[in-house]
Formats: sequence, structure tokens, C-alpha cells
Amino acid sequence: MRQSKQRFSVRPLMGEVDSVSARITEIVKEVAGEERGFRAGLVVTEACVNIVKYGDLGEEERIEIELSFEDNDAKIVIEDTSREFNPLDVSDPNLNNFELLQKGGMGIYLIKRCSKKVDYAYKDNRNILTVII
Amino acid sequence: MFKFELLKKSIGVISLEKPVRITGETSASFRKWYESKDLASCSAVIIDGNNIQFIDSMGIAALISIYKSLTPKGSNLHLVNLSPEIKKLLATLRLDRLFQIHDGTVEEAVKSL
Repeated sequence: MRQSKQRFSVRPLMGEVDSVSARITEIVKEVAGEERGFRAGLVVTEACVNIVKYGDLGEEERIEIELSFEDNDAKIVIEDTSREFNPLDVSDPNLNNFELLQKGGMGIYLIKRCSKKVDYAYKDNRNILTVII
Repeated sequence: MFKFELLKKSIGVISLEKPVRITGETSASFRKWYESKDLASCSAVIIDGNNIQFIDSMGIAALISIYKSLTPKGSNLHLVNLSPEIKKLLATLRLDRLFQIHDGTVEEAVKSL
């Protein structure tokens, strides 16, 4: 199992988020299989797209992502300097109402459902989301 | 990137010409593209997921939007050739109750309609 940490510094742009998500998907697939690779890419996309859409980051700011493997799990840490936002405080969407589902809430729900464990901290003016997949 | 054809005069089939990740900007392009097609007049719409490498919540929202444009006339959205990961994702969101998900090919889905 791979032990080293890999770091990605992402400009707050949708296209960059997608490129890094694709890279992380491939790395995790290689180490932990197709299904976990897909989930890892999805978590990165959903978390970072939220930051890009609502975080109001400046062009010079970056989303920092660290990927590592612990035992059989992928660990992804996503840090950003936008205003404090704890995605774990967001209620799950009503899955029986697809109209509401379409309007929002799917992304954070998917982060929770695709992960074994999700932790959030706000420290030194940084949102730190740690996800185990 | 996206291709639309009409089979049996009224079944719309959407496919992708190359492997695509339906996320962020691509979801927006996809939405703009299908809004230029008259999907509401189709008796059914089939999306061939063969080249859908990856999809996120924005891409899924686009699928819901297609579904919504079809249901007033009693038509439905059919998805074929999806990867196991995408099928699981749709099940996680319980959207497998909304869309008709087929295990076979586009041809088999067309025959079943």
C-alpha cells in the first residue's frame, strides 16, 4: 500500500477542480480499486465545487488537497481559506423530493455517503475537511 | 461531443462521441446542448452511458432536468450502459426509482419500449 502523501494546489476554477479530481480518481483506483477511485474523485469534486461556487476565493488563493493512504483507506484532506463553513452542519436532502434535490444539497450528502468518515475543523482561518474513503 | 438521434421516429437517443466527465462546465454545456433539442416531443429518451466516465451532482441535476421535461407527456428517461459506480451513485440518491435503468444495450432498450 502506498504510504507517501501527494499534494495538489488547485486554483478556484471548475476546470482545475475537474482535472485534479480526475487525477485523484486514477491514483486511488490504482491503489484501492475502481469503486473507491470513483468515490474519491466524487468527494474531491463535490467539496471543491462548493468552495469555488460559494467560497468567494480570490484568483490568487488556492484549495490545498493532500492525498495519502492509510492501511486500505484513502485519506483526503481539503483545505481552503474561504469563510468558515462546516458541511457536516448541513441537513441531508429529502430524497423523496427530486425537485428539491435538483436545487441543491446533493453534493454534501454525497460527500457523507461516499466516505467512511468525515471530519471538519476550522483552524487558523482555514476550513479543513478530512475524509476517509 | 454530444450526439442525438431519433429511432423509431420518436425515441430520442443521446450518446457521447468520446469519454466524458459530466461535471461542472461540461454539465453546463450538456444542459445548453440538450435544451436545443426537442426532447419533450420524444416518446422516450435513452441516454447511452457508455462514454460517461464520471458524473457529479451537477451532471445528475442535468439528468433530473431532462426527466422533468419528459414526464408531462408521460415519457420517461432511460439510462443504459452505465458503469457500476454510476449505477450505485444513482441508487444512493434513490434516483433509480425515477429513471429507467437498463442493463442491456441501447438496441435492447429500444426493443423494450
